[in-house]
This record gives sequence, structure tokens and C-alpha cells, in this order.
Amino acid sequence: MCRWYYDEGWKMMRCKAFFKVLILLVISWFPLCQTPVFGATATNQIQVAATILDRGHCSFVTPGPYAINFTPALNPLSAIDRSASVSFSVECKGLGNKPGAVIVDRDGYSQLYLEKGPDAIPYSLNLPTSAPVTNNTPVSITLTATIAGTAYKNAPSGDYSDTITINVIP
Amino acid sequence: MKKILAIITVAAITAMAGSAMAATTSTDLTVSASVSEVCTAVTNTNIDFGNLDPVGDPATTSTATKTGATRGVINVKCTQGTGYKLSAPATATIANGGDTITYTPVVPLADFTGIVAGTSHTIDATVDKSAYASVPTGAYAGTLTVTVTY
Repeated sequence: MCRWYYDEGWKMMRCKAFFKVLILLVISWFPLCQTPVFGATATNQIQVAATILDRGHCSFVTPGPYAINFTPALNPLSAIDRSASVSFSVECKGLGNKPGAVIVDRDGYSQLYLEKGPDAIPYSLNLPTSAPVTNNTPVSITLTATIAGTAYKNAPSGDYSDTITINVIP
Repeated sequence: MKKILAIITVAAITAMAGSAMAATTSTDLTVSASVSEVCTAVTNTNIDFGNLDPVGDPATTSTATKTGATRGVINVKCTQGTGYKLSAPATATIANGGDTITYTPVVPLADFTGIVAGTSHTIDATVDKSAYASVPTGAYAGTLTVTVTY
């Protein structure tokens, strides 16, 4: 193939060499052009580990469900902040002689609402962040729900309710 | 993009492992409240026939039309959306000692829908000239009870 071009004369040889150089240049630049698209492709693997400490196991002394009921009824014409509570006992085992702590939380973190069909009254629930416990000794936990007066001032009359899941940890 | 996904995956696995290992006991908590259906009424303006003239007045005098008379106004506040009606006795009296004048209260007859902010209602009264044609002169007064039924 090279010989055939050589027979055609020096110009043709030179042209073929030029295209060879051009192709090589394009090939050599191609990775450079692709650099911004692919970015850094280096990868690394990090080992992640955790150990769950044995903090015993706590449970409700009296099985639920529990209820908080606002009584007397909310009066929108004299709307004031109202609170209602429920108390229950939690007992922890497996602590040995070590002091422990129990946490009561609820599923989800969104705004809570008492609902009646399309009508809703926002409320808040105060959960103890941590209560000290000792092994096999019931401890009383109080949950308090609060409704702001402004939350029900314009609410239609009727019965409102909400059900949430509360958890005792550990 | 790949780096972000990898981090999220590791975090999720860690959290799942934590909750799986930790002991948790759950139960339901029901929170309930009732909103009262209630209405209240206050008097903003009392009714005043003004001066009644047994000679010059028309056969019937109404606070709604008489110059110098004052129409009554009550304000009704209710739980939002509460339906209510107004009513009053068919007749009532104003008195001056042992002398009385019988008049007719006039309340709006409609089905109202209450609001917390309150709604003002005008309460009128009419009195026939015959009711005061032969009573002694003087000041007569009385109390009218307007009932809000909801």
C-alpha cells in the first residue's frame, strides 16, 4: 500500500503522511476532550462498623393502647391553650446493677393533627427524652399533648382524634 | 452522583442495623378531643321607641322606621359552622310602675350559620298606638329576652 502511493509521486506520499499525523492527533486529543464528562473516577471503599450496646430491655408494665382525651370539650369561643396527659409505667430488665435510661418516642416526626373528616386541629406531643431507670423497677412516664387555642378557635364542632405509635427504647 | 449514592447506602444500612439490634416495644396512643357546639349572644344596642305620642303617632310605630327610635342589635358568636335561629316572645311589655305597654318584638327569622367572629342581628319592635293611648305619661322600660337556638 505504501509502495503504491510512492509510485504516484512524492506529493501523494506526503498527503498520506499528513492524514496519518492528523488521525494520530485526533486520537491523542480524544481522552483530553472527554475529561470534563467523566470527571474523577477514583473510588474507595470505607468500612463502617457499629456495636449496639446492651442497654437492657424495657416494656410497658400495662399493655397499651393508651389514650389522651381532652376533657372538658374545647370551647372555640374561649379558646385557650389546652393540655392533657396520660401516664403509664415502664419496667426495664437486663440492666444488672448498672443504671439505665429509657426513651419514649413516636413514629414519624411530622406535625400531628387531630382529625374529623377534612377538618384537622394541629397538636403537639411532649415525649420525655430520657428517663432514668433501674433494673426491674417500674418508672412512671407521662406524655402530654397540647393544643394551642388558636388551633381550634375556628374548628367546626365535633369529635376529633388521632392514633400514633409510641415506642419504648431499649 | 455515584459518590452521593454510596454514602446514602452506607448510612441506611447502618441505621437499619441499629434498629434491628435495639430492643423496642411499641403500642398505640390515641389522642382525642371534642370541639363544643356553642353560641353566645351579647347585646350591643338596646331598643328604644323614643317618644310615643298617643295623638300624633300612626296606628303602629316601628323602631325600624320611626325617626328618633333606636333599633336593637345583638351579636351572636358560635362555633364555626353552627346553625342557629333567633326567637323572641310574640309580645312583651314595658312598664312604668303598674302601668304597662305591650309591644311586638321583631327578630329576623332565618337559618343562620355561626362564626366565631360573631354576627350582628338587628332586633326591632313595633307598638300599636292603642297600647299606649290610655296609659299615664312617663318613662316605660322592660327587658326583652332574645333566644338563640342552635
